[in-house]
Amino acid sequence: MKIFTRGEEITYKLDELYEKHGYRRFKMNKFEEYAFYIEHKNFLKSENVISFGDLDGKLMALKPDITLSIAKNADTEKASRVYYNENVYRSANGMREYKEIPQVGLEFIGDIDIYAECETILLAARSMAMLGGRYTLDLSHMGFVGAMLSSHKLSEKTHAAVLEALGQKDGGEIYRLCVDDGSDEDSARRVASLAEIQGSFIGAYEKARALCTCEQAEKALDELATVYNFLKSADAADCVNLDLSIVNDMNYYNGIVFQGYLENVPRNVLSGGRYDNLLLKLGKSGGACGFSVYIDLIELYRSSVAPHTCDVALIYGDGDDICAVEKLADSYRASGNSVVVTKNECDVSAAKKIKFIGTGAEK
Amino acid sequence: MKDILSIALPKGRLGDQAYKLFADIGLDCPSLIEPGRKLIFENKENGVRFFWAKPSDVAIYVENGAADIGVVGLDILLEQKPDVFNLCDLGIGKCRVAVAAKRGFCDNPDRSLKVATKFVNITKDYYASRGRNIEVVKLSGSIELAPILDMTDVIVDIVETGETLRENDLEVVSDIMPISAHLIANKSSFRFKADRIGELKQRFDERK
Repeated sequence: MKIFTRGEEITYKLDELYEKHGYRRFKMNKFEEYAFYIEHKNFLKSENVISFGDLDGKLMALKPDITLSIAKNADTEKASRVYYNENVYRSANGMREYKEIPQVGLEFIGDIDIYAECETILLAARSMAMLGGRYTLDLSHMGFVGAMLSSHKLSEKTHAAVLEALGQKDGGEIYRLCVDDGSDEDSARRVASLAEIQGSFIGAYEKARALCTCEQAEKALDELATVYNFLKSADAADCVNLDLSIVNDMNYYNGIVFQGYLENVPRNVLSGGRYDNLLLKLGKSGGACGFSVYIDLIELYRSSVAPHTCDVALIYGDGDDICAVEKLADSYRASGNSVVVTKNECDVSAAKKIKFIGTGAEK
Repeated sequence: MKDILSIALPKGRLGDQAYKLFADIGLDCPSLIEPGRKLIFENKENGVRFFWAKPSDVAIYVENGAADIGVVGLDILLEQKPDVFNLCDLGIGKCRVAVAAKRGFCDNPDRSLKVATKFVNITKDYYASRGRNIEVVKLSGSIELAPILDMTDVIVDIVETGETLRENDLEVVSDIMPISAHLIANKSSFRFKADRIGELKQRFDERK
């Protein structure tokens, strides 16, 4: 029987889930031109990219991200469903070193509609449920947040600072930034209250609805409600929250954005959203939405640290005939067991431990 | 029994003040203030677990989920930019980050300004916003020594009363920002312990 690591097991299950929904695996080259990433560095989780000179002198980079490459290569005239299971290369969590990070995810790109968006978010919810344990899938909408801010005519700098403070649920700082930039106290308070909108979908949705001041914001909330009702009818809405502190770069993301959290994993293990603006920047029409699952975090926080396990540990000593030891090990393997041959029985945890004596074995 | 809420407090005077705030809203843990070498303190009745951490490490414990919430100075939040929720200003540990120099110092714009500090990011952001070139010397403590020994022109440091500066013939040249202690939360814990953390934040807000 093949023994999977926790990450491999999850990856296998997710691949199967996506294929069942008609997504095709997107296999890609590990390299891309460095300039492509520099042009779209704000889309990346980390600006640090491993670069190297190609044989013709062109500056290349090891892929720090999959979505950019898929979007670049997609034929957006039709709707394409793709999933990926690849490694990316970048610094992780503010560390000063590069990591090889396994990622699984999917993208629905091209001529897409509200069904495509609902299906993507449903698959995000089903992916979270597959990871095991308690989870939440938190939704937000960049269109709603954008509409709430646009009525304030904030400077570009303040706008960015407000989004950063919203990401930290720092209502006090949002209020200060808005007032310093000329907003009246009431409107500043209204923007600051975005930081408080969180929790199970229905309750939080009502609070957001009460803040609506324009048609664009109402349209965004209607879209969120459609997605939630879709998830509910598919029995996938139990762990779905609305949390307006989830913010992504508005230059790329224009609609619903979402993140998935697992209990006892300190960071989000899933992240995604609607990113039509990226396609626009790439000179393409159409829409796109998708998400990534961070397999590395799940392996790090959800894998046991149990010692190496096998069916049989065959323990030999100094002076034993190693050819006879191997012959005996092979006889156990022939009957379907996994066998580790070792001098130190503490090295492995085995269902059965067998001591080698002379040419035979003692159980 | 309640879920345990794990709380990281900064060692020192600020931590003592912060613990008092928690005790005042009913989340006391008497063993925390007993002398001894224990590192972690729990009160199962209240469902809380406290531990003391180096002030600059509190946000790291919270960001990595070892603590659900923590108390940390705004200076550390701005310097480290941890990926956490900054829930509220607790109104304790009030002081300021300021630029200080030897009494009578006059900036010479002909060359880069030499600045000693432990807040490298805050310092760079501040001078970048003023368009002033600087050379930063990162120190971990006794920052005041740098201008006294002519290693740097100025320092960027926390100033509370200004007494240490005065005793060493230094003075504040300009204030950068007021700071105080903030309540922070891990982004994942916040979602799974939303009721407890939300209630806690509300009670702190009501005390203001």
